[in-house]
Amino acid sequence: MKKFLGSLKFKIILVLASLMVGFMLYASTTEGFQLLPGRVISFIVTPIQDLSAQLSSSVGGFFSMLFNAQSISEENEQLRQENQQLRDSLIELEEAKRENEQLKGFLGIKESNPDIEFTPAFVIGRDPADEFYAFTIDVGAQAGVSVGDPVITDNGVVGIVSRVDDHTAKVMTLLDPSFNLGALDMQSRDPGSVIGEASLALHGYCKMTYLPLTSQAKQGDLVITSGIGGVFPENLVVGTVREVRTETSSVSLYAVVEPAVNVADVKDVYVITNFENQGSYVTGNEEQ
Amino acid sequence: MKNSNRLKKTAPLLKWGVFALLALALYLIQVTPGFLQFGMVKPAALCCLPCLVALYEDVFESAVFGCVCGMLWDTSAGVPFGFFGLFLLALCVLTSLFVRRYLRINLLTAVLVSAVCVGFTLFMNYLFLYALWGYTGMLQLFVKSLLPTVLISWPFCFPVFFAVRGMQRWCDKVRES
Repeated sequence: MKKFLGSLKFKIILVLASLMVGFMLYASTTEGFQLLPGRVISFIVTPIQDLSAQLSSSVGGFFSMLFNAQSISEENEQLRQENQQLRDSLIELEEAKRENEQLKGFLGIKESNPDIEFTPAFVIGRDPADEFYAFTIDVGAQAGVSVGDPVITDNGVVGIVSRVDDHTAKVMTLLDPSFNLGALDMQSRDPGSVIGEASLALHGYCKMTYLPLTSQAKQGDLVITSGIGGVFPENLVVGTVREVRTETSSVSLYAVVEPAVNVADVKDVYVITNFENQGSYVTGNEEQ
Repeated sequence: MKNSNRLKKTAPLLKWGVFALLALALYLIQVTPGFLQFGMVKPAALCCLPCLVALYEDVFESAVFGCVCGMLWDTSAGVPFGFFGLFLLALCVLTSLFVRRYLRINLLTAVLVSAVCVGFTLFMNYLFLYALWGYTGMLQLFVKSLLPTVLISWPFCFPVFFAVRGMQRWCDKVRES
């Protein structure tokens, strides 16, 4: 043992360990850009990972169809009943139709935000060490992706790019406690902040905090991005309010939000690489 | 005779080549979306391989292999680069130094070493990335995500141990022939 501790090999092991510590310290200063050794490993492994993900998606889709036949049938019946209710409530639906037209405008990303530039991406990796459904996508700095770029789908907000290398990027989802997004309850127009919380994330929900005690937010309200802070464009769908509760401090309310996108299953996303007011501090009072 | 000498020289290279391919295969199992995924839980299949290799290899080789496997894991995990490299390097050194010296190398030892390796590594990830930051709901995360991840990762030690032991026995046989 003493001989080993004095040997050259032990010194090399100490150098390796110091190198790992050095990498970690340096990584904390690079603002999310992957280090050179990581980029080299990623460059070698990414094509194989991409192929593996494509294969898994194809096989999974086939088996999913077989295993989910019962649930698809039940969902079909449920949708029939919903459709019948919509037809029967025509007068009420005129108001809903007006809102629906407005929502279509919001949901149609290019219609409401023609200034948005985005890059499509495919999910190629999900790591067991990531607790909140973070994933890796197959586009990186070479495709114009940067740390902090919003990630969305046609249905709504997914998350934000947290790390980038040349050909891949890591996405932090809106269920992560580190995630923070300026949002708005579309019906009550109350502003708030959408963040992740571990206990809610286990059920697939996130949280909209800092709602005033007088807030009119209620179950079923749509939560959209406010554009404040310049991180996300405005009017992107975040999710739907499931419940409104009082904070433990009793000075504000918070809403439990069901995200519009199932981040656990998402396979194709868009990375917003540029939009108007990106990075600028927008207070939301510019229209007044 | 010539072939036998050539095989003796290339056997270690072949052995490490197989270990490298095994590491890559386990990494792909670990990160492929939707594969062996149960909610937030996915197996950390790569985690036990370097420690099981360390049961049979010298300290230096084990440390380097552990470091490389850790760096491979770092590229996909949301951790600072070098995080898993450092912990797997340390675990491999400890395994090679102490387990080989004081314990018999058999399936039971492999199971224990894997359990410690998987549990320790994932716990360090949980501690430094989530628990230390004061987020709410950490206990629930520990019980409903971390523990199940450890439980479904640990069975990978069985096939990996047999593969590593088989490779080691083949190398020993070639060396002795």
